[in-house]
Formats: sequence, structure tokens, C-alpha cells
Amino acid sequence: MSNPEAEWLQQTLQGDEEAFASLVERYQNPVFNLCYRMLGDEFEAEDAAQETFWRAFQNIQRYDTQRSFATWLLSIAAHYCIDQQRKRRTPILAIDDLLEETLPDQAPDPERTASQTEEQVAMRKLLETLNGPDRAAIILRYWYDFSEDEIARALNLSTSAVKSRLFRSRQALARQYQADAARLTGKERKQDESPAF
Amino acid sequence: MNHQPFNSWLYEDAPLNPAQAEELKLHMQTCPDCTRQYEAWLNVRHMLKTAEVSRPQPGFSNRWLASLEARRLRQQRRQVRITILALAASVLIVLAGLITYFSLTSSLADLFASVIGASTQVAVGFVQIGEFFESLLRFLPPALTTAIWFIIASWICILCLAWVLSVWRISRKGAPSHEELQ
Repeated sequence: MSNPEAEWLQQTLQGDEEAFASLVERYQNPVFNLCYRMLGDEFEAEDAAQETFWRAFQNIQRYDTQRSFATWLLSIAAHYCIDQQRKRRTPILAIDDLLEETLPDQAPDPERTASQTEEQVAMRKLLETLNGPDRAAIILRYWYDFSEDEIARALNLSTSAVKSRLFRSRQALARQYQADAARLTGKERKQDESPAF
Repeated sequence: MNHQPFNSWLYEDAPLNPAQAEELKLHMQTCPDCTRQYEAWLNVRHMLKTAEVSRPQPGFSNRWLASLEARRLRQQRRQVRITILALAASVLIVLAGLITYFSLTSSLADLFASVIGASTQVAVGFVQIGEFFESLLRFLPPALTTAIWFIIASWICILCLAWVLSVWRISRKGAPSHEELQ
């Protein structure tokens, strides 16, 4: 843990809100990214990330300083997002809606932006095929480079459960990817066919 | 064709020893299904590893600080609601327990008679206390009697005011925190 972080944590433990705001500033991106990947919606991700920091602030006395603060925060975020997913059965948005939602206001390189947006959409579609805990395990493994043990601690699961969840999720993602690729190829072939036939 | 253990090796995402790697390579040369799955997984993994980190809109920490007071207020109100509900539930449980106990241990007529008896005793007790104070006031000088009435009325007013203020404060701001009490 770096020095300013330890200092901020110490000050937060004494009730300093500004010190905790510095921690919020530092960890806003990883927490928001996790929430966004889990929930697939920018506004819900903002709410979830804000709630994560609020819960962390409320329970800061329970934080074990021997553990990584980032891991603790991401664990809170993952649990919150899993709960949110359980509460609502997410309606899968139409691709056009997603494209419209993710298009930025200023696009310096339209081609690059379009391909990034397509990737984002593809990623969201893939992740939507997984249930909450599986999605959290995959996100923590590949975005945050968590080990299986760290994922197990973060999600309150056994290491063997994490292994089997990861295995199942990889298989599901690969199958979904194959299915999407096959659908896309079929579409392209149809477009290439002459309308006369 | 038997795809095991090759199919498992594809998705374990763990390093294989040279012998296993060779076996897998040989299997994939003859198994297009495993090859397609492997390619698909490699693509997905690449997407996961290279995807950009999503960032919140600027001013996230300021928004968090701004929402802090509202969240605190909401939590305090929830605590007050929970306390009131818990108190009401305990009163109801005690009442239900008493009713059950009395209905099991005595008949309805006995119960009715004892309730009437107890109410009469309480009423008689109040009347006796009133009579005692009345006789006491008769012996005191009129100025002292007025002063006693004035003190009692003032205290009743102060207590009522304090009660109203506390109810208003708790309903508006919630229970005071530890820091506020210190």
C-alpha cells in the first residue's frame, strides 16, 4: 500500500470525509468499470459505484488493513452488483439502443470509434450470457488479474467453486462467441446475395 | 471422437506441460470442433484482456461527497423507522403473550371480573390521592397553593415542549450520532 493511501485510510478511520473522497478519486475507475461490466448500463453503474463507496465508508471500521483496499472495495462492488442483478431480470437491450447509448459526443476518428463501440457491444452481449457470480468471477480474473484465491475471497466462495465457475464461464463465452460469429457470417452472406434470386 | 481431456485443457486456462501440449496439438489437427472452440476462446480472452476500462463522468468524487449528507439522513430515518417498528412489534408480542397466557389459565368470566376489579381499584386509588391533596391544600395558605399550581403547570408546559421538540428533531434529523453526543 502506498503512503498517501495509508494516510487517507487512517484519516478516514478518524471520520475524515475529505480523506475518503481522495480514496474515491483514486479508485473511481476500477470500481465504476466493474459495475459497468456487471450491470451493462452507465447510469446504473454510476449508482452502483456511488453505493459501493458509501458502503465502504460506512463499514471502514471493519476493513482489515492487512488486506488490499482495492480488493476489499471491488468485493463490495461485486456483491452489490450481483444483488442488483438478482433483484431485476435485465431486459436485453436492442443493439441499436446500445449503439446510440455508447456513441460519444465528439468523435475524432469515426472508424476507430465505431470499431470500439462494436467491441463494447459484443463484450456486453457476451457477458450478458453469464449469471451474476460467474460474470463477477470472469471480470475479476481478466480485467483485474485476480488469482482464483483472491476471487474466492472477494466473492465468498471456495477456490474449487471459483475454478468450476471460471471453467463453465469460459466454455459459455466461447460458445456464445461461436454462435455470434456464425450469425454474423449468415447475415453477411444474405446481404451479398442478389435480390433477384 | 473422445474430446477429453483436451476439451477441459482448453478451458482450464492453465499452462500445460510439454507432453500435454503435444497431445493437444495432435488432437486439434484431427478435431475441427475443438480447434474452433479453442480459436473462439482465444478471441474472447483477447477481447477481455484488451477491453478499455470504462470511466465515470468527471466529478465522480464530488458527486459522492455531495450525496453523503442525503445518504446519512436517509439512513438515520431508516434507523428511526426500524426502532419504532421494533418497539411496536415487541409491544404486540407482549400483548399477544399476555392474552394467550390469560386465556389458557383462566376462564373468560374470571378474566372479565379481574379486569373490572383492577380498574375499580385504580379509579378508587386516584380518587383517594385527589382527596389527600385536596385536604392538604385546605391547610396551606392561599399564596403557597397558587405557587404550587404555578410550578406544576410550568413543569407540565416545559415537558410538553421538550417532548414536541424531540419528536420533531428525530423525525426531521434522525437520532443524534456518537460524535454529536460527545
